Amino acid sequence: MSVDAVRGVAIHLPISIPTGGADANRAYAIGMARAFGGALLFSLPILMTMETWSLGFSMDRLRLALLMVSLLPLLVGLAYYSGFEDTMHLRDAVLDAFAAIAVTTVMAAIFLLLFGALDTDTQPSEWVGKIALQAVPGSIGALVAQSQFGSNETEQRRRRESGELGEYFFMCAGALFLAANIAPTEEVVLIAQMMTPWQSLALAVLALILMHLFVYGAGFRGQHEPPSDRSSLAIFVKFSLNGYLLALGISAYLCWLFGRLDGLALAESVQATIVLGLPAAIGAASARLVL
Amino acid sequence: MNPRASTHHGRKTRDVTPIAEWMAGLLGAGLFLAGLSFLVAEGLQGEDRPGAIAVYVSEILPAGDGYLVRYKAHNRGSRTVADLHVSARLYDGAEEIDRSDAVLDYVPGDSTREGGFYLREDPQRYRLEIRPEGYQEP
Repeated sequence: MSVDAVRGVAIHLPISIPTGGADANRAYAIGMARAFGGALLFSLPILMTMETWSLGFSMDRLRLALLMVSLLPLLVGLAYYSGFEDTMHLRDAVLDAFAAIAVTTVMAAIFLLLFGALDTDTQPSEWVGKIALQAVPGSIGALVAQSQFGSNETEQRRRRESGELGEYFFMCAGALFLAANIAPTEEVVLIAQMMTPWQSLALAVLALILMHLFVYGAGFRGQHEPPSDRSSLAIFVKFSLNGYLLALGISAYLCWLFGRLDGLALAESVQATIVLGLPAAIGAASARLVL
Repeated sequence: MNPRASTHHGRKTRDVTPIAEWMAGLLGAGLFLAGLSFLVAEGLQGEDRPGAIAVYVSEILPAGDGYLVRYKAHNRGSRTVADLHVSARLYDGAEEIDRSDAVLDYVPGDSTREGGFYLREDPQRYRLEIRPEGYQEP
């Protein structure tokens, strides 16, 4: 944006909208501060994990680009359902999504510089990679800061409006968020290698049961009343089983993006997917609590 | 910049997109597109050179009873090397009289990382040889 545009608005804004232009900007600035807090809160675990720094330069560049691209529709959707200011229009949702990215970029650059993970000698490629990796949890955190820390009448309205597709969308967002916090670590493959196939199978079954309990059984805030016109089995298949398959898909996608499946045999790849599937499933099931 | 601001007089503030929102949104869009195009350009360049490490001495200092040889390892390749082992050997003629090893966790492509070797003998009085030994792909 040009300097003239800013100056022009600074002069004309109070005249053209005497009621509330400055207030709106101030409210927005408060929203941004809240977003900064949310970005920090959500990305601290990977901000302080060394694998994410090394992935920043060693990860395949096109896969990292793909991660950024897949993040965008997720952010726009989240901004629409529960953004850091009361989003009314799709255009505002898109602006909010990009603003979340801006906040996260600034936040990640500040902390990575303070940690010494980035410095003036660092190659541009490393800067871009390290900061881009923080974008996933950070920008999600920036967007949900409103629903967690702020007033949320609009957001509750949105929640009621979101139908079945919205359900799956929130599941995706939750799965991606929690799994992206764990996927960069070496422990995913390590755990997969320590497990026998029977343990993997047991983990998959347990994750599925936990997911069902999170959504319908444990009495968390925001959980669902099972629809009364359907049998328990139908609910289990429709939401929990589908949700778990969705979580596994996201787990496999993230494992592949972070190069965790490179060179692994099919059986080991499936095991790694099941291991990362646990946080993905818990993230998907608890999306309604967190997001 | 904010066309609805002038036409929507007197409506609720929320219906007007504040200028700050435009600025933050456009800044984010700029950062996103810049980062994305950078990564795609780098990925599509097809520049895939295996790690090629050159180790050189940056300075030699007395340290305790011995000496510290500070070194820089530069990766001329485009791929990251992990667990890079480097060694320093001191020769008196053909005889190896001192040796020190070090490991660098990562040296990204086209980047430099630094470290040091501790030697008991004075490296300036003998022939010092430092070299990369091996690494693993991350």
